Amino acid sequence: MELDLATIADLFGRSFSLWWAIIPGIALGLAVGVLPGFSPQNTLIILLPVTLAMDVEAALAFMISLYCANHLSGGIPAILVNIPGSAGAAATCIDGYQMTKKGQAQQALMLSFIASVAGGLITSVAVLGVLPFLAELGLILRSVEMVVIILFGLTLIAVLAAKDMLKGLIGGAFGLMLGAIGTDQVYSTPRATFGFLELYDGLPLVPVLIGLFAISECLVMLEEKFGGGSKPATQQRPQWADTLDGIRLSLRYWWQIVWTAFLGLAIGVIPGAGAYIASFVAYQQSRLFSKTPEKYGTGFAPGVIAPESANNGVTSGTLVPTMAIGIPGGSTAAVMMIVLQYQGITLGPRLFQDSPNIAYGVFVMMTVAYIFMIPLILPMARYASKVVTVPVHVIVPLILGLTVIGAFADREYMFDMALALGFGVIGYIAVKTNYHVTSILIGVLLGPIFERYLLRSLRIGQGDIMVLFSSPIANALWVLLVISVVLPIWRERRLARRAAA
Amino acid sequence: MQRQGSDPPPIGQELIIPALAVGFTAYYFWTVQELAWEAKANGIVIGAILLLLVALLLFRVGWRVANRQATLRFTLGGDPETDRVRLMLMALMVAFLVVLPLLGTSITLGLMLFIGMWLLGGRHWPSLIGVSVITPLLVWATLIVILGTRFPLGPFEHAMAALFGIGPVD
Repeated sequence: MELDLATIADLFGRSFSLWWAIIPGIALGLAVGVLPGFSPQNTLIILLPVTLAMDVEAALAFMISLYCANHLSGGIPAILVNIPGSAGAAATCIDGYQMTKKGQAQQALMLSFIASVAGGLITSVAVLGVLPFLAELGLILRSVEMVVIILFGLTLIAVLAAKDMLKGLIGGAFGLMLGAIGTDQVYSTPRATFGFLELYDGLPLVPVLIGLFAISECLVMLEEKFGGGSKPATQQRPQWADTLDGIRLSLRYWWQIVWTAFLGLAIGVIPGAGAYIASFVAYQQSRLFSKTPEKYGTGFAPGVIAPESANNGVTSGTLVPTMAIGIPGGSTAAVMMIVLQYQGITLGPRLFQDSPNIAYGVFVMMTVAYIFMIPLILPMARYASKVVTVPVHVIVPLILGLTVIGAFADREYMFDMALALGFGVIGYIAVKTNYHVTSILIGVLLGPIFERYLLRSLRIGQGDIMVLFSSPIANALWVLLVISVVLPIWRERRLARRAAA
Repeated sequence: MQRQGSDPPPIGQELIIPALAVGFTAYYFWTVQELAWEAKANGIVIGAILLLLVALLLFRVGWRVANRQATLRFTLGGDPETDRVRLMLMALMVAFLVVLPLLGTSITLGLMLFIGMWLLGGRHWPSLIGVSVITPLLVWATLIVILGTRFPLGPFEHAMAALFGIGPVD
């Protein structure tokens, strides 16, 4: 099937006619994404009986809408209460919550919504044009290149640690050590599991995320009520003017949205590379190329735009290897594969000949889902921002109760709830003693996959570390990595010298 | 900047995270000592870097203490009242986990919300009752009944299943 304008128009028409599946998908995705612990793949697994009973196109439209909306709404609690709804929104907390503290919650939400929708729209449209090339990217990038890409994400630890490098690096290294808990990749022997079977698969990310961000934040919030701490500045009444201001800011930084969305798309194409890698890398690169890097971390609009746009760029990228080579780009894509295979559709290169309406239709449906999201979410910023006006004595128990329940939902272990509380205490101490919790989280998130790809590379190279420098693409990435580490240090020293002069 | 004549600030609290990190690293090293190199290479390299970083921090802390720029006393900066509430809230959460398998998700969550709000000074009865009744009902309806998540069940969930046939039986 040739992908001409008539075909695209036909696919768009069919996708729009599936509004009845798309809108509930968006609604459910938004609701689930706000709650840490409720991942889109788990929701889709629970809803498998429903999707399997649906017509294949309707089922796909529903699943894709839920997936995209879920990626979008993870940023809402990250901005409002410093609690990322998913790991992919963790980087959004850094500047998003600072904007809320400055009384700009509505603007931050608008930045997040517009960056997410625009990032998803741009990449899903772009994928239609370059699908065959992107599918090859998933094959070209191997373990060696992945090691360097993950190191890009890890360099954010150093960026976050700029105020106190030593503490930041200790936090990051602690996170990386915690990420090494669980059975090893080669022999499956347990390491540092404290005898808990629940830790054999590694430290579960959801309880760690909930503990480090949600529970620790609740403990800090108490100071607003009892200790005379700084309360987030809030407007008397949410105003449409703030929504418009958010739109204006988004338009001002349109280029940020575009290039970080493509960065997310490229990372999403790599099987196994999650949204959190994309969002951390995007934040770090956005800061690197900014003329005002010192503003990052203080409530700066591009600090919200970059991770959110990349996070949604990933949604298109993840489906590329799924459709083109039959390898799921992520766990949600794997669930979608199950549904498609149940319906008798075989994914892979032949899909474009056998079922082009599915192969290309997936990305058209994604575009349509993002279009449907615009009228649904834009008014939401005005009302969602009211969350910051809820009294501390109500919001703290609510967050504690719902997030600890969320810790259970992912794996259904009581152990995970206790783990979340334990990490809540660690997170609180880290916050109060200026060890950046995001540094710890980056270590926990990226540590296991770094180890996996590093070991895979070393085994390919028969233990020779030089294998990491054995491919032209990896070498080019190494050069870029060194530049991205050295450049900010050099720039900050130059600025310091100028200031001294 | 430290004021003339005032006590040097306490920095003992800055050693809590490094102490946890070093303790965990030592435990990790102990558990991997007999494993093949592939199983421990990554952790040992990171652990060694971590130990080096902590050594540098200890040197920095020691230098500040020796120069009377800081003391090794501990504080997390909270006033006694806030710390007391914080501890009570954490105790409440521990109790929540203990009671959860006995009373089920809905009742335990309702009790936890009510006591939590009370501990934090909430005295507006309609809000206390409204939040602690409506939230567990929403959790039960959406997460347990609709999404089918296997949360611990208790008298409420069993009663709803027995009386109206709504939700999981066990």
